[in-house]
Amino acid sequence: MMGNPIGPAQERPPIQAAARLPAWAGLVVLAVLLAALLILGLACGSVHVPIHAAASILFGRPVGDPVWRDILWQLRMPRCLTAALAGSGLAVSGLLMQTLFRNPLAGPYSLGISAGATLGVALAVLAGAGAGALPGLPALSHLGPQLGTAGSAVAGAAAVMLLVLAVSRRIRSNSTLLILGLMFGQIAGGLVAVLQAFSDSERLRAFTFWGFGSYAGVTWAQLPALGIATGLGILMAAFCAKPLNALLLGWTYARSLGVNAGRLRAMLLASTSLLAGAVTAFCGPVAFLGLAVPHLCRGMFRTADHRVLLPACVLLGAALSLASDLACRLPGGGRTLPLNAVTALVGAPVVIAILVRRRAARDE
Amino acid sequence: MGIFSPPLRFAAAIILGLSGCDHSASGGQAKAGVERPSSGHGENRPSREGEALRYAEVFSMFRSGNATRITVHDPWQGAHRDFTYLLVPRDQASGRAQGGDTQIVAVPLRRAVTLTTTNLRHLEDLGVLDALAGVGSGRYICSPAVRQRLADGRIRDVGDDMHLDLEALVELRPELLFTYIVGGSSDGGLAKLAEARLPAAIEGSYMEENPLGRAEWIKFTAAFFGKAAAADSIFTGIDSSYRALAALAAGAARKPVVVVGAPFGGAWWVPGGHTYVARLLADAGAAYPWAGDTTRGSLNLDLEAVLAKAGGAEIWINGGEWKDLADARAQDDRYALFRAFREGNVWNNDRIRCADGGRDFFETGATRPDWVLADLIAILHPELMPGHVMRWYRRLPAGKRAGTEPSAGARAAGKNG
Repeated sequence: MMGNPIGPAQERPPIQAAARLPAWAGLVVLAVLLAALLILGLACGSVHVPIHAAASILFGRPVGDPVWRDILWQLRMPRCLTAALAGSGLAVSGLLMQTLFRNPLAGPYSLGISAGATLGVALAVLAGAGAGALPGLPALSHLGPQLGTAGSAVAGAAAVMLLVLAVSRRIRSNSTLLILGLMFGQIAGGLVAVLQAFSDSERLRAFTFWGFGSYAGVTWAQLPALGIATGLGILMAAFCAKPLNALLLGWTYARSLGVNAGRLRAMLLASTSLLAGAVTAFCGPVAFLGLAVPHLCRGMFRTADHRVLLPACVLLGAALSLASDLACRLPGGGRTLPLNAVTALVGAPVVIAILVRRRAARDE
Repeated sequence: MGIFSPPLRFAAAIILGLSGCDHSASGGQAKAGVERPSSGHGENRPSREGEALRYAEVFSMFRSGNATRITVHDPWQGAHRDFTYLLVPRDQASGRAQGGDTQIVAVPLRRAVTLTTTNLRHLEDLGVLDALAGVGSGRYICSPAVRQRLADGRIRDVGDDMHLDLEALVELRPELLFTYIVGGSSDGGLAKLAEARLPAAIEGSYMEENPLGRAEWIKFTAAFFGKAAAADSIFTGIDSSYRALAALAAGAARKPVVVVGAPFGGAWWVPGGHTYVARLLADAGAAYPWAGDTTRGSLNLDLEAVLAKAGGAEIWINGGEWKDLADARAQDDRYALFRAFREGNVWNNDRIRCADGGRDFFETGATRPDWVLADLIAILHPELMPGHVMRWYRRLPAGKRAGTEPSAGARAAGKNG
């Protein structure tokens, strides 16, 4: 892999390729899938709530055990919404990075952006820079410290993203860029470990649990902040869809079409940092969703057109994230799996498949 | 991914910590012929000749003549190993070969190091602190006597169990190092200690399921310092006071339901039915929703599973790191879904705080189950303990933001409750 950069340009399906099914139909399918998973996410959990009771409760007619209403409205609903928002945000930021760096293995996790966000959170939580007098990450939910921590995560993500951007202008090799991203992530991880060594046990405990990744900790009070950050990030990405299509054929080509390269870079930087940073701040570092979903979308729609891929990533990212969260509850009896274990088990095979298929295509 | 590896081992430690270290290797039954404080689980085990213990299961001790043989059984989760120590008087120790698996220790020790705080408290209670040359995690220690000795250099801090200062240890040349091992595949650095020729003894009290069994480890410590008689008398006092309190609680008219712990990162580690915490609650006259569970460790549950089973609990103990209820609610307003929270019945064991955020409860609590039980009975059945002054527990005050408009979650919960 070292000596053979994975060149996406010649292997990526052309923009005008005949779609297997019309894009709008595909998007409708994804929307239906997402809706089904949302319903499943609300209906399934460690506590058995009969489906008709769940439906009645959601339509405002409380039936059965009163605790069911709390479980649906206060626990499952925010959890499912968080899963959907986080999945969309990560998938879109992954898509943007893959196009920006013209690298199929780019993503918020693989390029160290999530690690940068983690460092931001660690600075806010462990070093107490987040103005929270309280120990521990749960302090996130105070409006002040909450925004402080999220802002710190976004800043950390942006810092790493800037570094990667700066380096990417000098380095042509895709694999070198990935390794550099990995190294930036390692540096951020090392700094986090140093901070951990100097923090007290309670903060350390809160931070460690946050590091496992979870959608369950986000409350109604926190959802607006996550929703606004994700919405803003996706909106910015939407404005970049056309110039991103031009960018698929290189910066020179994009410039010739009148794309303002500096402004596009700035927009992409802002969007990816906002998405990866906010999701990381609220849910912990979630692996693989950002990397795998854009590939699944390209495979499904047989296109590289960002006007299709962006909404597809929003829908499939949310759906896959909800499915992962559901899988976390598979053991039953109230026992849960760590989110990152599930996303790794789902996402890593996708990455392996990409590598193997590309290698096979080149060897033919 | 590099960001996960450093805290992983730590995570194992805190999970044990969260559950109150409720991992027990062997059963939690009292020995035959000993009156038990309350009905519990398991069968009585026949007593063995020469055995000097009443409740402890993780170690056994036989006194014969001047010598004492101590065997520590499976002192950590998955250890599948016994450790045997033959304690012989100093003047008779020379010439005895270190035979096989049995480690010969000349007693009383004159120069020891301990990495466990439980043990530390034993040394203080037995009056042998002068024989202590070093401690682990010095900065979290609560005991004023030990802090004073740390300050004037009579005791040295040798780091914590994850970052043990081996050079300092070698320089201290202790006759014996008391250590403990938290489960996992490793041997907790025992091989490294052996290479450095530092004799170590394993302290496994946290594996005891019975609170009195945990306290009985004072006999283990005492044997190494020639204080067996003092330990027997201290323990007899603890035992009878615990049983008197349990008998008092057994007469309570009703058993309030109790919920324990708090969620962390979406997971709530709930002590299983066969744990130290469950046993204390049963003896304090509580109805613990997971009392019928057979887990020896903690159950990793999600919030909805705990809410469905314990949302109506009257009392909530050992909650999160909260200053007051407003503080807790600001972290997550869904705590108000619990009845105990809405009614202001949340009790934390952080009344005595020490330097660097440590709690005296974690240092002293394991050695004084009678005091823990007294606090718990006073929380659950205040009418049984008139005039009781809480040692470790405090009821969380409402806090300054309590008067403000409750959130949607709290309102919904209020209607349901």
